[in-house]
Amino acid sequence: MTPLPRWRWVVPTAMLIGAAAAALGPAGPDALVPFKAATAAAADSVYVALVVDLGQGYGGSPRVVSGCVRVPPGKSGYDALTAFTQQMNWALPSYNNAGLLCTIDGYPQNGCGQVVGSGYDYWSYWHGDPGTWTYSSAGASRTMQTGDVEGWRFEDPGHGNPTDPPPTAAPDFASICASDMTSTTSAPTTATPTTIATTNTGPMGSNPAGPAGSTPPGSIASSPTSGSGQEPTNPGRPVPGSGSGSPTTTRPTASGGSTAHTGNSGSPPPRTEALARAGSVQHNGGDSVPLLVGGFIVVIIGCGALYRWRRHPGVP
Amino acid sequence: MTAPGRILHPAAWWVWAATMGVAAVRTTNPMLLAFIAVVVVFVVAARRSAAPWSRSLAVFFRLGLIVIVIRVVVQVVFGYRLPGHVLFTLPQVPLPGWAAGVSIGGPVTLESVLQAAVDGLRLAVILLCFGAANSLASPYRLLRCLPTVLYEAGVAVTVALTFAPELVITIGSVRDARRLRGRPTRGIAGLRGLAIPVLEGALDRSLQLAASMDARGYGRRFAAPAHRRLATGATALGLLLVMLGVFGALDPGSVPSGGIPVLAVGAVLLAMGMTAGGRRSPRTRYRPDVWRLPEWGVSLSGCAVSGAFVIAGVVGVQGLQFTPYPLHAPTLPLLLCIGILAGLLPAVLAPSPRDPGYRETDGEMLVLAQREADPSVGVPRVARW
Amino acid sequence: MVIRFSDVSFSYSAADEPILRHVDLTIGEGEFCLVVGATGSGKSTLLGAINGMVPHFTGGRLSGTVTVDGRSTRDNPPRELADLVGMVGQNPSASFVTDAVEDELAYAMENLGVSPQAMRRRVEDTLDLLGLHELRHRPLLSLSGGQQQRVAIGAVLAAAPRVLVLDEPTSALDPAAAEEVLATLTRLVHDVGMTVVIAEHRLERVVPFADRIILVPGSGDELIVGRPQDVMAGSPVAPPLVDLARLAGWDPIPLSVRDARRLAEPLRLRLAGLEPGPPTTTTPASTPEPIAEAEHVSSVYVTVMALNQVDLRIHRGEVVAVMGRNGSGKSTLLGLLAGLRRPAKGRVRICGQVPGDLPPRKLIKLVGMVPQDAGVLLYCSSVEDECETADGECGLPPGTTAATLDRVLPGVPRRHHPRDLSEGQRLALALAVILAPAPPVLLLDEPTRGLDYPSKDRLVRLLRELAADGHSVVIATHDVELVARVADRAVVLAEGEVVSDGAAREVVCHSPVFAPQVAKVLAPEAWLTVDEVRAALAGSSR
Repeated sequence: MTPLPRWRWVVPTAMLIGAAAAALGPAGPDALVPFKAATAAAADSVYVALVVDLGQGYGGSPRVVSGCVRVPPGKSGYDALTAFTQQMNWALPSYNNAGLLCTIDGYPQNGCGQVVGSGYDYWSYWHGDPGTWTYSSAGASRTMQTGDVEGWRFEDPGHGNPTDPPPTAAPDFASICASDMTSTTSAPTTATPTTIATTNTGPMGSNPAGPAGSTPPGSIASSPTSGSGQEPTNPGRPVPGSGSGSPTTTRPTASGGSTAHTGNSGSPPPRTEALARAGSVQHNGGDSVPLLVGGFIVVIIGCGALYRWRRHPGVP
Repeated sequence: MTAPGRILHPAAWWVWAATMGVAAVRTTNPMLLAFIAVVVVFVVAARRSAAPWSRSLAVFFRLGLIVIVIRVVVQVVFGYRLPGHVLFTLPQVPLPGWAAGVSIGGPVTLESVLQAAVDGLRLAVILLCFGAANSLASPYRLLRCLPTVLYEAGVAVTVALTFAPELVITIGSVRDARRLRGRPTRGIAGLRGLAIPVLEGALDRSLQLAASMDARGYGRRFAAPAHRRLATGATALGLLLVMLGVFGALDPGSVPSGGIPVLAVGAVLLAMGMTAGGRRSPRTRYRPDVWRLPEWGVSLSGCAVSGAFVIAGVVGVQGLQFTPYPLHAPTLPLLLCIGILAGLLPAVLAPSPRDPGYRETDGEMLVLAQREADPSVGVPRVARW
Repeated sequence: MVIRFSDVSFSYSAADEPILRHVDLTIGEGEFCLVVGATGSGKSTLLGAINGMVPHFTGGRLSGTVTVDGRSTRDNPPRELADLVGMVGQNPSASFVTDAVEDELAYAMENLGVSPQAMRRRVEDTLDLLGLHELRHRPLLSLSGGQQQRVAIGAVLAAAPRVLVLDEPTSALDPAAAEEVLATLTRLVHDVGMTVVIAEHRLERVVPFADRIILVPGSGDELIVGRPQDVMAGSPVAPPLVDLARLAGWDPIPLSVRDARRLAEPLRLRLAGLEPGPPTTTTPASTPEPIAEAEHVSSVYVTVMALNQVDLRIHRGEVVAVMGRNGSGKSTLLGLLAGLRRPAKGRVRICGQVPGDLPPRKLIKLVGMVPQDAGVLLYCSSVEDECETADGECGLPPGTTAATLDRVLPGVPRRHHPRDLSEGQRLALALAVILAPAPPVLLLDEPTRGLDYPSKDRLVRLLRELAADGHSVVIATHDVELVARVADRAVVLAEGEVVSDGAAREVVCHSPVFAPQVAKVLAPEAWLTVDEVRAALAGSSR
């Protein structure tokens, strides 16, 4: 009863969708991210110092993490934060519908900007000037320049803070980013701007070979940039900042050897163990296969539904 | 599986659709949402009957698309900007200090648009689930399943359901009458002067219907009216409180103490009202719908899907939520997808719809016969689905 | 004795004239009782009183008692009598509560608290009795008019009443469907022993079946009750057959075509060789350009072709009747001509213009249409207001519409709300409003539904005058008597296509479905109306 010409368009459309999905596959999900266009030489990048203070209510350690990130010019503070989290192998920051930063590395586990007593639990944003932190009531949308110090502190009024205190690390760009800036100038091998197109040759979770000179994961960064505070890393975990050799494919141009300057304790942030958060962290190239398979199944079921719909209803 | 032609209990369809909707609520992954949507549409396509309401899914589908568009437009104009790739910039309208939380205009980023689109998609999928229940379950049979204590309310809703299409036809004939009288039919002037004749027509029809129902014994021999009214009142209040309690449970903080006490009180009232009112009703039911194995199968398949989603949320399966910033393709938890496929079971378990016994075009011609009075016959319509 | 009226008087309010006055009536068991009378004479009131609708539902003052099988309607509202009296109205789809046939049949029994097994049994029996078993699962909206009316009858029948009261059940039905319903009723009376009381305007369909006729003269006069032959002999409202019988002096009055044919031999001989009046038909070849035409129009309703390549040409001063079953596309065709819709294919022209493209103000000067429900055209709160508004809108000198109304039907009370008028008065007001701007083309959709014979006579006269003035009239109807009296041409549609198109006499006379009673009696001669016969006889006797 179904006249063929009526749904003849379905088959070519399905083929088109399939072809598009297949073309997209090898490029991987990163093909969707224009953010990762090839950047120019290292000299064009912007260095930003970041301090993340998880607040007094945070039970784990370290509580304050600081580090230096390198981002392409023209990026915002949000991008710097994202780069930082990727560099630290943390879960990406999440935002709510209104654009408010909810979690960094999955902390806090619940809630976003909740009312607590007479205040709020939220991530406050600070801009560091030499010697002082300035509370920023606008968002982190301004363009970053080299020498900016960004501070994020989680405010939890329940723990007795009367007002919004600033992050408890010093807003000192020089000390945070010194090693990175020197490393950039001295070590061309590690300072390769990672054009991610080269790192993402395989979507199947293969460990893409990083640019020449990057250290294999798990080993202590042997780059000359490992300056002060290079701690032994947990075996099996990619060293934070050990170059773009890590499996994360969505890393921006983090150069090798940026260190995690910890505030109160000396160990690298064993974040995942401490938090056991929902939503695990690894962003690896294994994304796209389930996506393709799922998309294919969706298309198949959709075509089946369409075909069935067109037929005379009520006839089994 | 069952004899073709047996009609599935409408509550089973509603349970299935509601649980699929619950599953959709728990995720913002567009691929998962698409999965749920196609599963729902497939089941509807496989098991819908030839009845007039079976086409309502198309309406909800279009409504869902409109919802997505509205959501995106609102986000573009009013929403907070998620950082990311700026698509274009709207002129920013400065707002006074007291409206500090709202912004109009400004840069529009791809991330915020995608966030809004995915949000709208979730709403659209929920609407689709609702539309699926409407398409598959006969509203009349659903109303017949109501407990006796709510019988009058059920009758009122049934009559309203019958009236709605009639109202549309009346509007059409009144509009034609205006054209025949030389009055404008378009624009605001066309809308005025439509209301009174339509309402008059509806009133006439409702009087005729009331007379016919009265002549057929509606409202007969109700013993102990005060007692029944109490029971009906208790049931209605109980339903209201249960609804409030569920709302409180879903949205913590809106109802004091999570809505649990309200829910408990409501449930107790409901139980009391229904048991008290259910006895001693003079009405009998002709061939009430039965709840057998296919009904269990259909309901449980939906529960399995939503259960899978709830568990996935609790366990912390990656990919359940879509983070627009930074932009990346969503992952797809394959096991969860296979769980969603369980929602396809009703396409097999539910009895296939009975052969209507007439070609649909014949039916349309006969509907035409009924609408001889209605000059709106002859309008070429857009393809039905 | 089933139904008994004892000194029953009724008026809607103390101030009004009583509609029924001192009615004493007994309707026995197993009778097929036909109630006739002009509109507004009180037929519906009488029928409603049997059920208790009057006064419990309609309000008013009823004195005297009406008892049905010993139960008085004074103490029992209609719902208490539902197991005894079943009432079916004109418009079955307005009385449906559920959506499927089976559930509709069971509805009354559910209200009565019948046990589920008994309900099941009775539903099956009712389906068999009315021939609905193939339709049992069908949604009600998908049934044809005749089927719906049968379902409505079944819905009251399933409660096993002893009396069935029907108020104009066949008015909305085409002749074939009407036959269906009436045959069912006769079967109920003869096979089941039910008492059926039915009120009808189109007596030609029902009189053959009736056992007794109750004539309600109106304005509170005494009812005339008796055998059909006796009552019809003197009744002011009578089908054409009875008129013919009176004219020819047949005694006893034949009530069916068969009886009439047996008596008609002498009349046929007298009429042999006489021409049935001056030819009023005009063949298309000899006429000037058509004033309205539809060329190869096709119209689509969802996926169905409501009209398929229909051609229609209408000339000045012509009265064209469009006939056909319900659903054959008559209303669609009229809608296209009136400019309410545009055809999917083909074109429609009236006086050279396309009606679908015209703004409403210009349209009313070109073509006027009275839809099936004439009341939908009227939206002022009094007749006076309606006339004034019509004058204002069409840009006519004040008083034009009122004058037209007087011409159509004198004596319409000016202060009444249009919905309070009788059917005939409402139709007259609608016609006046439409005719006020004097459009050259007039379209009428089922104008005689609910009209009694005097009103129909007036309508026929008016249409003749309009045709003589040069207006063209197109009537969509299945009232064959109207067609016989007024139409020059007849077009028959079936399933959206033209089946026949020609002079009314030729199309209508020899069709078993569409032939008027006179033609059936006097076949094979082609006589359409009693007036023709009268004129021919008068002419020949000179």
